[in-house]
Amino acid sequence: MHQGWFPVERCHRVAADVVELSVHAPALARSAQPGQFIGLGVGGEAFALLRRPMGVSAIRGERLAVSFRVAGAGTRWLAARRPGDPVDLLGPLGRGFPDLGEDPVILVGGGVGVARLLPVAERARGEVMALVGFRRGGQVFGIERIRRAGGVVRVATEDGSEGRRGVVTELLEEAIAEGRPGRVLASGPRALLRAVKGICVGRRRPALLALEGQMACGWGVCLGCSTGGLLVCRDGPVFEAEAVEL
Amino acid sequence: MSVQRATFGRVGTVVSGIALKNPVFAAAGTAGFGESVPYDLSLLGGIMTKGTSPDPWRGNPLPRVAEVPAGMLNAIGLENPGMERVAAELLPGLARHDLAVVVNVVGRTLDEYRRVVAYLSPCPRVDAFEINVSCPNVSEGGLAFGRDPAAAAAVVAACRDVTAKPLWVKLTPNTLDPVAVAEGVVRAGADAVTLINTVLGMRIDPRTRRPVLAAGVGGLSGPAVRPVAVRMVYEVARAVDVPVIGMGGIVTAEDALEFILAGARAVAVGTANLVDPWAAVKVAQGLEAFARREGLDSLDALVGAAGSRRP
Repeated sequence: MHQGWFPVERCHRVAADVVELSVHAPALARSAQPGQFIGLGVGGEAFALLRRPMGVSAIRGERLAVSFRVAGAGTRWLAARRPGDPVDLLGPLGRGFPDLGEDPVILVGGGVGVARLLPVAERARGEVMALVGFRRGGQVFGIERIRRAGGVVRVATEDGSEGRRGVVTELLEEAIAEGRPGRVLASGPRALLRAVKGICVGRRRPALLALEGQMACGWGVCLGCSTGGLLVCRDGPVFEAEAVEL
Repeated sequence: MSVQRATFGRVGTVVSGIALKNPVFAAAGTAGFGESVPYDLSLLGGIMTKGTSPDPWRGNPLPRVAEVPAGMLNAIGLENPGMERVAAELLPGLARHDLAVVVNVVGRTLDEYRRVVAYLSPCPRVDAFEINVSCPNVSEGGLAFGRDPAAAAAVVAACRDVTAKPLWVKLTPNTLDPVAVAEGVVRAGADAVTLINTVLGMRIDPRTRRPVLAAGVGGLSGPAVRPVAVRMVYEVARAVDVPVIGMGGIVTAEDALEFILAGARAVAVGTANLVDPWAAVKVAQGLEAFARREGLDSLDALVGAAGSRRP
Protein backbone atom coordinates (compact mmCIF):
# COMPACT_ATOMS: atom_id res chain seq x y z
CA MET A 1 0.00 0.00 0.00
CA HIS A 2 1.33 3.40 -1.00
CA GLN A 3 -0.05 6.92 -0.73
CA GLY A 4 1.09 9.92 -2.70
CA TRP A 5 0.41 12.50 -5.38
CA PHE A 6 0.99 11.34 -8.93
CA PRO A 7 0.68 13.15 -12.28
CA VAL A 8 -2.21 12.46 -14.63
CA GLU A 9 -1.08 11.21 -18.03
CA ARG A 10 -4.43 11.13 -19.75
CA CYS A 11 -8.05 11.63 -18.80
CA HIS A 12 -10.63 10.89 -21.44
CA ARG A 13 -14.08 9.54 -22.10
CA VAL A 14 -14.10 5.91 -23.25
CA ALA A 15 -17.91 5.73 -23.54
CA ALA A 16 -20.92 8.00 -23.16
CA ASP A 17 -20.67 7.98 -19.37
CA VAL A 18 -17.31 6.37 -18.53
CA VAL A 19 -14.05 8.23 -18.02
CA GLU A 20 -10.63 6.58 -17.91
CA LEU A 21 -8.00 8.35 -15.81
CA SER A 22 -4.44 7.21 -16.44
CA VAL A 23 -1.69 8.10 -13.96
CA HIS A 24 2.10 7.79 -13.88
CA ALA A 25 2.45 6.07 -10.52
CA PRO A 26 5.36 3.60 -10.56
CA ALA A 27 5.07 2.54 -6.91
CA LEU A 28 1.41 1.58 -7.32
CA ALA A 29 1.58 0.24 -10.87
CA ARG A 30 4.42 -2.17 -10.11
CA SER A 31 2.50 -3.90 -7.31
CA ALA A 32 -1.08 -3.64 -8.61
CA GLN A 33 -2.95 -6.78 -9.65
CA PRO A 34 -6.11 -6.99 -11.77
CA GLY A 35 -9.16 -6.81 -9.50
CA GLN A 36 -7.51 -4.55 -6.92
CA PHE A 37 -8.63 -0.97 -6.41
CA ILE A 38 -7.26 2.49 -5.72
CA GLY A 39 -8.58 5.18 -3.35
CA LEU A 40 -8.66 8.50 -5.17
CA GLY A 41 -8.77 11.77 -3.27
CA VAL A 42 -10.97 14.47 -4.75
CA GLY A 43 -10.88 18.23 -4.41
CA GLY A 44 -12.46 21.30 -5.85
CA GLU A 45 -16.19 21.91 -5.53
CA ALA A 46 -16.70 18.55 -3.86
CA PHE A 47 -14.78 19.69 -0.72
CA ALA A 48 -14.64 16.04 0.10
CA LEU A 49 -12.68 14.17 2.74
CA LEU A 50 -13.19 10.55 1.73
CA ARG A 51 -11.48 8.82 -1.14
CA ARG A 52 -13.36 7.26 -4.06
CA PRO A 53 -12.63 3.53 -4.34
CA MET A 54 -12.14 2.63 -8.01
CA GLY A 55 -11.12 -0.61 -9.69
CA VAL A 56 -7.90 -0.72 -11.65
CA SER A 57 -8.72 -0.75 -15.37
CA ALA A 58 -5.22 -0.88 -16.85
CA ILE A 59 -1.72 -1.73 -15.59
CA ARG A 60 1.12 -0.89 -17.97
CA GLY A 61 4.64 -0.61 -16.64
CA GLU A 62 4.80 2.49 -14.44
CA ARG A 63 1.29 3.58 -15.36
CA LEU A 64 -2.09 2.52 -14.17
CA ALA A 65 -5.62 3.61 -14.93
CA VAL A 66 -8.97 3.61 -13.23
CA SER A 67 -12.32 3.99 -14.99
CA PHE A 68 -15.45 5.44 -13.50
CA ARG A 69 -18.92 6.72 -14.20
CA VAL A 70 -19.33 10.45 -13.55
CA ALA A 71 -21.95 10.40 -10.81
CA GLY A 72 -21.46 13.44 -8.58
CA ALA A 73 -19.22 16.35 -7.68
CA GLY A 74 -16.23 14.15 -6.78
CA THR A 75 -16.15 12.14 -10.00
CA ARG A 76 -16.87 15.33 -11.98
CA TRP A 77 -13.75 16.89 -10.43
CA LEU A 78 -11.69 13.80 -11.29
CA ALA A 79 -13.02 13.77 -14.87
CA ALA A 80 -11.81 17.37 -15.29
CA ARG A 81 -8.14 16.52 -14.49
CA ARG A 82 -5.71 17.25 -17.31
CA PRO A 83 -2.28 15.79 -18.14
CA GLY A 84 0.24 16.85 -15.52
CA ASP A 85 -2.35 17.59 -12.82
CA PRO A 86 -1.49 15.79 -9.57
CA VAL A 87 -3.97 13.35 -8.04
CA ASP A 88 -3.86 11.80 -4.56
CA LEU A 89 -3.82 8.01 -4.70
CA LEU A 90 -3.86 5.27 -2.04
CA GLY A 91 -3.28 1.72 -3.13
CA PRO A 92 -3.23 -0.86 -4.45
CA LEU A 93 -5.99 -1.98 -2.08
CA GLY A 94 -7.70 -5.31 -1.51
CA ARG A 95 -7.22 -8.75 -2.96
CA GLY A 96 -7.55 -9.00 -6.73
CA PHE A 97 -8.03 -11.90 -9.12
CA PRO A 98 -5.60 -14.78 -8.65
CA ASP A 99 -3.20 -15.62 -11.47
CA LEU A 100 -5.03 -18.32 -13.42
CA GLY A 101 -1.98 -19.40 -15.35
CA GLU A 102 -2.88 -20.86 -18.73
CA ASP A 103 -6.42 -21.82 -17.74
CA PRO A 104 -9.26 -20.54 -19.94
CA VAL A 105 -11.55 -17.89 -18.46
CA ILE A 106 -14.99 -16.49 -19.17
CA LEU A 107 -15.21 -12.82 -18.24
CA VAL A 108 -18.69 -11.45 -17.48
CA GLY A 109 -18.97 -7.68 -17.17
CA GLY A 110 -21.84 -5.22 -16.86
CA GLY A 111 -21.62 -1.47 -17.49
CA VAL A 112 -18.64 0.32 -16.00
CA GLY A 113 -17.81 -2.97 -14.22
CA VAL A 114 -16.33 -4.16 -17.53
CA ALA A 115 -13.35 -1.89 -16.82
CA ARG A 116 -12.03 -4.10 -14.02
CA LEU A 117 -11.92 -7.11 -16.36
CA LEU A 118 -9.77 -5.41 -19.00
CA PRO A 119 -6.43 -5.93 -17.20
CA VAL A 120 -7.43 -9.58 -16.64
CA ALA A 121 -7.90 -10.02 -20.39
CA GLU A 122 -4.59 -8.30 -21.09
CA ARG A 123 -2.62 -10.45 -18.64
CA ALA A 124 -4.32 -13.81 -19.29
CA ARG A 125 -2.15 -16.52 -20.78
CA GLY A 126 -5.05 -18.88 -21.51
CA GLU A 127 -8.08 -18.47 -23.78
CA VAL A 128 -10.36 -15.55 -22.93
CA MET A 129 -14.03 -15.22 -23.76
CA ALA A 130 -15.52 -11.90 -22.65
CA LEU A 131 -19.26 -11.42 -22.32
CA VAL A 132 -20.16 -7.78 -21.78
CA GLY A 133 -23.52 -6.10 -21.27
CA PHE A 134 -24.64 -2.47 -21.42
CA ARG A 135 -27.95 -0.62 -21.44
CA ARG A 136 -27.37 1.21 -24.73
CA GLY A 137 -24.90 1.03 -27.62
CA GLY A 138 -23.27 4.37 -26.72
CA GLN A 139 -22.14 2.96 -23.40
CA VAL A 140 -20.13 0.11 -24.91
CA PHE A 141 -16.39 0.29 -24.21
CA GLY A 142 -13.38 -1.95 -23.74
CA ILE A 143 -14.13 -4.54 -26.41
CA GLU A 144 -11.29 -3.42 -28.71
CA ARG A 145 -8.81 -3.87 -25.87
CA ILE A 146 -10.03 -7.39 -25.22
CA ARG A 147 -9.86 -8.28 -28.91
CA ARG A 148 -6.36 -6.84 -29.24
CA ALA A 149 -5.35 -9.05 -26.32
CA GLY A 150 -6.64 -12.05 -28.26
CA GLY A 151 -9.99 -12.49 -26.51
CA VAL A 152 -13.32 -13.41 -28.06
CA VAL A 153 -16.00 -10.81 -27.24
CA ARG A 154 -19.80 -11.11 -27.22
CA VAL A 155 -21.87 -8.00 -26.54
CA ALA A 156 -25.45 -7.60 -25.28
CA THR A 157 -27.32 -4.31 -25.03
CA GLU A 158 -30.74 -3.92 -23.48
CA ASP A 159 -31.94 -1.70 -26.34
CA GLY A 160 -30.42 -3.94 -29.00
CA SER A 161 -28.44 -1.10 -30.58
CA GLU A 162 -25.22 -3.09 -30.44
CA GLY A 163 -24.65 -6.82 -30.28
CA ARG A 164 -27.45 -9.03 -29.01
CA ARG A 165 -30.64 -7.46 -27.56
CA GLY A 166 -30.79 -8.73 -24.02
CA VAL A 167 -28.72 -9.08 -20.88
CA VAL A 168 -25.25 -10.48 -20.38
CA THR A 169 -26.36 -13.41 -18.22
CA GLU A 170 -28.12 -14.85 -21.28
CA LEU A 171 -24.75 -14.85 -23.03
CA LEU A 172 -23.28 -16.68 -20.04
CA GLU A 173 -26.01 -19.34 -20.10
CA GLU A 174 -25.30 -19.89 -23.79
CA ALA A 175 -21.53 -20.07 -23.40
CA ILE A 176 -21.90 -22.67 -20.69
CA ALA A 177 -24.45 -24.62 -22.80
CA GLU A 178 -21.96 -24.58 -25.69
CA GLY A 179 -19.47 -26.27 -23.42
CA ARG A 180 -17.14 -23.28 -23.20
CA PRO A 181 -14.54 -24.16 -20.54
CA GLY A 182 -13.07 -21.99 -17.86
CA ARG A 183 -13.61 -20.24 -14.61
CA VAL A 184 -16.07 -17.33 -14.61
CA LEU A 185 -14.77 -13.91 -13.49
CA ALA A 186 -17.54 -11.34 -13.08
CA SER A 187 -17.67 -7.61 -12.38
CA GLY A 188 -20.70 -5.34 -12.43
CA PRO A 189 -23.79 -4.31 -10.48
CA ARG A 190 -24.86 -6.40 -7.47
CA ALA A 191 -27.87 -7.79 -9.40
CA LEU A 192 -25.57 -9.07 -12.15
CA LEU A 193 -23.22 -10.71 -9.64
CA ARG A 194 -26.18 -12.34 -7.90
CA ALA A 195 -27.40 -13.75 -11.24
CA VAL A 196 -23.91 -14.98 -12.17
CA LYS A 197 -23.59 -16.64 -8.80
CA GLY A 198 -26.96 -18.36 -9.29
CA ILE A 199 -25.97 -19.67 -12.73
CA CYS A 200 -22.48 -20.83 -11.73
CA VAL A 201 -23.22 -22.36 -8.34
CA GLY A 202 -26.14 -24.33 -9.90
CA ARG A 203 -23.83 -25.75 -12.56
CA ARG A 204 -20.83 -26.27 -10.28
CA ARG A 205 -18.86 -23.80 -12.40
CA PRO A 206 -16.18 -22.05 -10.33
CA ALA A 207 -16.72 -18.29 -10.29
CA LEU A 208 -14.97 -15.25 -8.87
CA LEU A 209 -16.96 -12.10 -8.27
CA ALA A 210 -15.51 -8.59 -8.02
CA LEU A 211 -17.72 -6.64 -5.63
CA GLU A 212 -18.17 -2.95 -5.08
CA GLY A 213 -18.78 -1.57 -1.62
CA GLN A 214 -19.46 1.72 0.06
CA MET A 215 -16.48 2.34 2.29
CA ALA A 216 -14.77 5.19 4.09
CA CYS A 217 -11.23 3.81 4.29
CA GLY A 218 -10.52 1.00 1.81
CA TRP A 219 -7.87 -0.59 4.06
CA GLY A 220 -9.85 -2.62 6.58
CA VAL A 221 -10.47 -0.36 9.54
CA CYS A 222 -13.76 1.53 9.16
CA LEU A 223 -15.95 -1.60 8.72
CA GLY A 224 -18.30 0.37 6.45
CA CYS A 225 -18.22 -2.38 3.80
CA SER A 226 -18.70 -5.40 6.07
CA THR A 227 -20.83 -8.09 4.44
CA GLY A 228 -21.53 -11.28 6.36
CA GLY A 229 -18.43 -10.75 8.48
CA LEU A 230 -16.18 -10.20 5.44
CA LEU A 231 -14.83 -6.82 4.41
CA VAL A 232 -15.17 -5.98 0.72
CA CYS A 233 -12.04 -3.81 0.96
CA ARG A 234 -9.70 -6.21 2.78
CA ASP A 235 -11.04 -9.74 2.25
CA GLY A 236 -12.14 -8.82 -1.30
CA PRO A 237 -13.13 -7.10 -3.48
CA VAL A 238 -12.73 -10.41 -5.38
CA PHE A 239 -14.48 -13.33 -3.70
CA GLU A 240 -15.23 -16.94 -4.56
CA ALA A 241 -18.93 -16.94 -5.50
CA GLU A 242 -19.91 -19.47 -2.81
CA ALA A 243 -18.06 -17.54 -0.10
CA VAL A 244 -20.00 -14.29 -0.30
CA GLU A 245 -23.55 -13.19 0.58
CA LEU A 246 -25.04 -10.96 -2.09
CA MET B 1 7.42 6.56 4.51
CA SER B 2 10.24 6.00 6.98
CA VAL B 3 10.37 7.53 10.41
CA GLN B 4 12.84 6.54 13.08
CA ARG B 5 11.73 6.19 16.67
CA ALA B 6 14.69 8.29 17.65
CA THR B 7 13.05 11.22 15.89
CA PHE B 8 10.81 11.64 18.95
CA GLY B 9 12.69 13.25 21.77
CA ARG B 10 10.88 16.44 22.63
CA VAL B 11 7.24 15.44 22.72
CA GLY B 12 7.10 12.57 25.21
CA THR B 13 4.59 12.81 28.03
CA VAL B 14 2.93 10.77 30.75
CA VAL B 15 -0.79 10.06 31.15
CA SER B 16 -2.11 7.98 34.08
CA GLY B 17 1.43 6.84 34.79
CA ILE B 18 1.83 5.53 31.22
CA ALA B 19 4.90 6.93 29.47
CA LEU B 20 4.15 7.98 25.90
CA LYS B 21 7.02 8.60 23.45
CA ASN B 22 4.74 11.09 21.78
CA PRO B 23 1.25 12.30 22.64
CA VAL B 24 -0.48 10.87 19.57
CA PHE B 25 -2.94 7.97 19.60
CA ALA B 26 -4.88 6.34 16.80
CA ALA B 27 -8.52 6.83 17.83
CA ALA B 28 -10.87 3.91 18.43
CA GLY B 29 -12.35 2.36 15.31
CA THR B 30 -9.90 3.99 12.92
CA ALA B 31 -6.98 1.56 13.16
CA GLY B 32 -8.61 -1.67 14.33
CA PHE B 33 -6.16 -3.46 16.63
CA GLY B 34 -3.30 -2.27 14.48
CA GLU B 35 -3.37 -5.41 12.34
CA SER B 36 -3.68 -3.56 9.01
CA VAL B 37 -1.63 -0.48 9.87
CA PRO B 38 1.08 -0.09 7.19
CA TYR B 39 3.84 1.25 9.47
CA ASP B 40 5.61 0.26 12.66
CA LEU B 41 3.04 0.93 15.38
CA SER B 42 5.86 1.73 17.79
CA LEU B 43 6.01 5.13 16.09
CA LEU B 44 2.76 6.09 17.83
CA GLY B 45 2.26 7.10 21.42
CA GLY B 46 -0.60 4.63 21.60
CA ILE B 47 -3.65 3.06 20.08
CA MET B 48 -7.25 3.03 21.26
CA THR B 49 -8.65 -0.25 19.97
CA LYS B 50 -11.89 -0.94 18.18
CA GLY B 51 -14.75 -0.95 20.70
CA THR B 52 -14.92 -4.34 22.40
CA SER B 53 -18.04 -5.94 23.87
CA PRO B 54 -18.37 -9.18 25.89
CA ASP B 55 -19.99 -11.11 23.01
CA PRO B 56 -19.52 -10.60 19.25
CA TRP B 57 -21.61 -7.78 17.77
CA ARG B 58 -22.65 -7.84 14.10
CA GLY B 59 -23.08 -4.10 13.75
CA ASN B 60 -25.69 -2.23 11.74
CA PRO B 61 -27.05 -2.91 8.25
CA LEU B 62 -25.49 -1.16 5.23
CA PRO B 63 -25.06 1.62 4.21
CA ARG B 64 -23.05 2.43 7.30
CA VAL B 65 -21.05 5.38 6.01
CA ALA B 66 -21.91 8.58 4.16
CA GLU B 67 -19.98 11.60 3.11
CA VAL B 68 -20.55 15.18 4.24
CA PRO B 69 -18.52 18.32 3.57
CA ALA B 70 -15.22 18.07 5.46
CA GLY B 71 -16.27 14.92 7.22
CA MET B 72 -18.32 11.78 7.28
CA LEU B 73 -21.24 10.12 9.00
CA ASN B 74 -20.96 6.60 10.30
CA ALA B 75 -23.34 4.13 11.84
CA ILE B 76 -21.14 1.05 12.01
CA GLY B 77 -22.79 -0.12 15.21
CA LEU B 78 -19.59 -1.28 16.94
CA GLU B 79 -19.15 -4.49 14.98
CA ASN B 80 -16.52 -6.47 16.85
CA PRO B 81 -15.61 -10.12 17.51
CA GLY B 82 -16.12 -9.96 21.29
CA MET B 83 -13.62 -9.92 24.15
CA GLU B 84 -12.54 -13.56 23.94
CA ARG B 85 -11.38 -13.36 20.33
CA VAL B 86 -9.93 -9.92 21.00
CA ALA B 87 -7.78 -11.40 23.77
CA ALA B 88 -6.85 -14.55 21.86
CA GLU B 89 -6.34 -13.22 18.34
CA LEU B 90 -5.97 -9.45 18.26
CA LEU B 91 -4.18 -8.24 21.38
CA PRO B 92 -1.20 -10.63 20.89
CA GLY B 93 -0.40 -8.83 17.62
CA LEU B 94 0.17 -5.65 19.62
CA ALA B 95 2.67 -7.33 21.95
CA ARG B 96 5.52 -6.87 19.45
CA HIS B 97 5.07 -3.11 19.45
CA ASP B 98 6.16 -0.49 21.92
CA LEU B 99 3.14 1.77 22.39
CA ALA B 100 0.33 2.27 24.87
CA VAL B 101 -2.60 -0.07 24.25
CA VAL B 102 -5.92 1.31 25.45
CA VAL B 103 -8.86 -1.04 24.98
CA ASN B 104 -12.08 0.75 24.08
CA VAL B 105 -14.92 -0.92 26.00
CA VAL B 106 -18.58 -0.97 24.93
CA GLY B 107 -21.68 -2.50 26.46
CA ARG B 108 -25.45 -2.43 26.45
CA THR B 109 -25.66 -2.72 30.20
CA LEU B 110 -23.54 -1.82 33.17
CA ASP B 111 -22.69 -5.47 33.63
CA GLU B 112 -21.45 -5.80 30.03
CA TYR B 113 -18.93 -3.00 30.54
CA ARG B 114 -17.79 -4.60 33.79
CA ARG B 115 -17.40 -8.04 32.17
CA VAL B 116 -15.10 -6.71 29.42
CA VAL B 117 -12.91 -4.82 31.86
CA ALA B 118 -12.73 -7.78 34.28
CA TYR B 119 -11.89 -10.22 31.47
CA LEU B 120 -9.20 -8.12 29.78
CA SER B 121 -7.67 -6.52 32.86
CA PRO B 122 -5.20 -9.40 33.46
CA CYS B 123 -3.85 -9.11 29.86
CA PRO B 124 -0.32 -7.74 30.23
CA ARG B 125 -0.61 -5.90 26.90
CA VAL B 126 -3.54 -3.79 28.10
CA ASP B 127 -2.27 -0.53 29.58
CA ALA B 128 -5.62 1.16 30.16
CA PHE B 129 -9.30 1.07 29.27
CA GLU B 130 -11.32 3.68 27.43
CA ILE B 131 -14.89 3.32 28.59
CA ASN B 132 -17.09 4.27 25.65
CA VAL B 133 -20.24 5.81 27.08
CA SER B 134 -20.77 7.89 23.97
CA CYS B 135 -21.36 5.80 20.86
CA PRO B 136 -24.46 7.13 19.09
CA ASN B 137 -24.87 4.00 16.96
CA VAL B 138 -26.19 1.38 19.33
CA SER B 139 -29.79 1.26 20.50
CA GLU B 140 -29.03 0.51 24.13
CA GLY B 141 -26.12 1.53 26.31
CA GLY B 142 -23.51 3.76 24.76
CA LEU B 143 -24.84 7.27 24.51
CA ALA B 144 -27.65 6.59 26.97
CA PHE B 145 -25.00 6.36 29.71
CA GLY B 146 -22.86 9.18 28.45
CA ARG B 147 -25.54 11.87 28.48
CA ASP B 148 -26.36 11.49 32.14
CA PRO B 149 -23.68 12.28 34.76
CA ALA B 150 -25.09 9.77 37.26
CA ALA B 151 -25.41 6.94 34.73
CA ALA B 152 -21.92 7.57 33.35
CA ALA B 153 -20.54 7.59 36.87
CA ALA B 154 -22.27 4.29 37.61
CA VAL B 155 -20.55 2.63 34.63
CA VAL B 156 -17.17 3.90 35.80
CA ALA B 157 -17.78 2.78 39.37
CA ALA B 158 -18.73 -0.71 38.16
CA CYS B 159 -15.54 -0.95 36.11
CA ARG B 160 -13.44 0.55 38.91
CA ASP B 161 -14.42 -2.41 41.12
CA VAL B 162 -12.82 -4.94 38.77
CA THR B 163 -9.54 -3.34 37.68
CA ALA B 164 -6.60 -1.44 39.05
CA LYS B 165 -5.58 -0.34 35.55
CA PRO B 166 -6.28 3.23 34.46
CA LEU B 167 -9.85 3.92 33.37
CA TRP B 168 -10.31 6.60 30.76
CA VAL B 169 -13.82 7.64 29.81
CA LYS B 170 -14.79 8.73 26.31
CA LEU B 171 -17.25 11.59 26.45
CA THR B 172 -19.98 12.60 24.04
CA PRO B 173 -20.62 16.04 22.60
CA ASN B 174 -24.32 15.12 22.39
CA THR B 175 -25.21 16.47 25.79
CA LEU B 176 -26.05 19.86 27.15
CA ASP B 177 -23.53 19.76 29.97
CA PRO B 178 -20.37 17.81 29.14
CA VAL B 179 -18.59 19.33 32.14
CA ALA B 180 -21.13 17.77 34.50
CA VAL B 181 -20.59 14.34 32.91
CA ALA B 182 -16.81 14.77 33.12
CA GLU B 183 -17.01 15.76 36.79
CA GLY B 184 -19.31 12.79 37.45
CA VAL B 185 -16.98 10.20 35.98
CA VAL B 186 -13.93 11.69 37.70
CA ARG B 187 -15.69 11.48 41.06
CA ALA B 188 -16.48 7.81 40.27
CA GLY B 189 -12.80 7.04 39.73
CA ALA B 190 -11.95 7.88 36.12
CA ASP B 191 -8.22 8.49 35.64
CA ALA B 192 -8.61 10.54 32.46
CA VAL B 193 -11.27 11.67 30.02
CA THR B 194 -11.10 11.42 26.24
CA LEU B 195 -13.23 13.60 24.00
CA ILE B 196 -15.03 13.97 21.71
CA ASN B 197 -16.91 11.02 20.28
CA THR B 198 -18.96 11.72 17.14
CA VAL B 199 -21.67 14.35 16.87
CA LEU B 200 -25.17 13.03 16.06
CA GLY B 201 -26.04 13.77 12.47
CA MET B 202 -28.17 12.72 9.55
CA ARG B 203 -28.39 12.88 5.77
CA ILE B 204 -31.46 12.33 3.63
CA ASP B 205 -31.40 11.41 -0.07
CA PRO B 206 -33.90 13.65 -1.94
CA ARG B 207 -34.24 11.03 -4.69
CA THR B 208 -35.19 8.13 -2.46
CA ARG B 209 -36.71 10.41 0.20
CA ARG B 210 -35.08 8.15 2.79
CA PRO B 211 -32.16 8.56 5.21
CA VAL B 212 -28.83 7.80 3.55
CA LEU B 213 -27.66 5.60 6.44
CA ALA B 214 -29.60 2.38 7.00
CA ALA B 215 -29.63 3.17 10.72
CA GLY B 216 -31.17 6.59 10.01
CA VAL B 217 -28.88 8.72 12.13
CA GLY B 218 -25.16 8.37 12.67
CA GLY B 219 -22.11 10.08 14.06
CA LEU B 220 -20.40 13.01 12.37
CA SER B 221 -16.62 13.09 12.43
CA GLY B 222 -13.70 14.68 10.59
CA PRO B 223 -12.56 18.29 10.32
CA ALA B 224 -16.21 19.42 10.36
CA VAL B 225 -16.40 18.74 14.11
CA ARG B 226 -13.01 20.11 15.13
CA PRO B 227 -14.13 23.49 16.52
CA VAL B 228 -16.79 21.73 18.60
CA ALA B 229 -14.17 19.36 19.96
CA VAL B 230 -11.63 22.09 20.76
CA ARG B 231 -14.29 24.05 22.61
CA MET B 232 -15.32 20.99 24.66
CA VAL B 233 -11.74 20.10 25.53
CA TYR B 234 -11.21 23.70 26.62
CA GLU B 235 -14.29 23.62 28.88
CA VAL B 236 -13.67 20.19 30.37
CA ALA B 237 -9.91 20.68 30.93
CA ARG B 238 -10.60 23.75 33.02
CA ALA B 239 -13.10 21.84 35.17
CA VAL B 240 -11.39 18.54 36.02
CA ASP B 241 -8.06 17.62 37.58
CA VAL B 242 -7.42 14.48 35.52
CA PRO B 243 -5.66 14.50 32.12
CA VAL B 244 -7.73 15.19 29.03
CA ILE B 245 -7.04 13.41 25.74
CA GLY B 246 -8.41 15.49 22.87
CA MET B 247 -9.76 14.30 19.53
CA GLY B 248 -12.15 15.36 16.83
CA GLY B 249 -11.12 16.15 13.27
CA ILE B 250 -7.35 16.25 13.78
CA VAL B 251 -5.56 15.98 10.42
CA THR B 252 -2.30 17.89 10.99
CA ALA B 253 0.09 18.72 13.83
CA GLU B 254 -1.32 22.26 13.85
CA ASP B 255 -4.77 20.79 14.54
CA ALA B 256 -3.28 18.73 17.38
CA LEU B 257 -1.69 21.84 18.87
CA GLU B 258 -5.10 23.49 19.08
CA PHE B 259 -6.22 20.66 21.35
CA ILE B 260 -3.05 20.79 23.44
CA LEU B 261 -3.39 24.54 23.89
CA ALA B 262 -7.04 24.00 24.85
CA GLY B 263 -5.93 21.67 27.64
CA ALA B 264 -5.28 18.21 26.16
CA ARG B 265 -2.23 16.32 27.44
CA ALA B 266 -2.46 13.92 24.51
CA VAL B 267 -4.48 13.70 21.31
CA ALA B 268 -5.96 11.06 19.02
CA VAL B 269 -6.21 11.04 15.25
CA GLY B 270 -9.37 9.37 14.00
CA THR B 271 -11.16 9.93 10.72
CA ALA B 272 -7.97 11.21 9.07
CA ASN B 273 -6.56 7.65 9.34
CA LEU B 274 -9.31 6.44 7.04
CA VAL B 275 -8.18 8.84 4.33
CA ASP B 276 -4.44 8.54 4.93
CA PRO B 277 -3.33 5.43 6.85
CA TRP B 278 -0.15 7.29 7.87
CA ALA B 279 -2.03 10.32 9.24
CA ALA B 280 -1.35 9.67 12.94
CA VAL B 281 2.41 9.23 12.41
CA LYS B 282 2.50 12.40 10.34
CA VAL B 283 0.85 14.29 13.20
CA ALA B 284 3.39 12.88 15.69
CA GLN B 285 6.27 13.82 13.39
CA GLY B 286 4.81 17.29 12.88
CA LEU B 287 4.59 17.86 16.65
CA GLU B 288 8.25 16.88 17.05
CA ALA B 289 9.22 19.24 14.22
CA PHE B 290 7.20 22.03 15.87
CA ALA B 291 8.94 21.48 19.22
CA ARG B 292 12.33 21.58 17.54
CA ARG B 293 11.50 24.75 15.62
CA GLU B 294 10.24 26.43 18.78
CA GLY B 295 13.17 25.24 20.88
CA LEU B 296 10.89 23.33 23.28
CA ASP B 297 12.07 20.25 25.20
CA SER B 298 8.49 19.26 25.97
CA LEU B 299 4.99 20.21 24.97
CA ASP B 300 3.78 20.05 28.56
CA ALA B 301 4.12 23.79 29.05
CA LEU B 302 1.64 24.32 26.22
CA VAL B 303 -1.08 22.17 27.75
CA GLY B 304 -3.99 24.49 28.42
CA ALA B 305 -1.91 27.56 27.60
CA ALA B 306 -4.77 29.11 25.63
CA GLY B 307 -6.61 29.92 28.83
CA SER B 308 -6.22 29.95 32.58
CA ARG B 309 -6.78 26.45 33.88
CA ARG B 310 -8.72 27.21 37.00
CA PRO B 311 -9.95 30.49 38.35
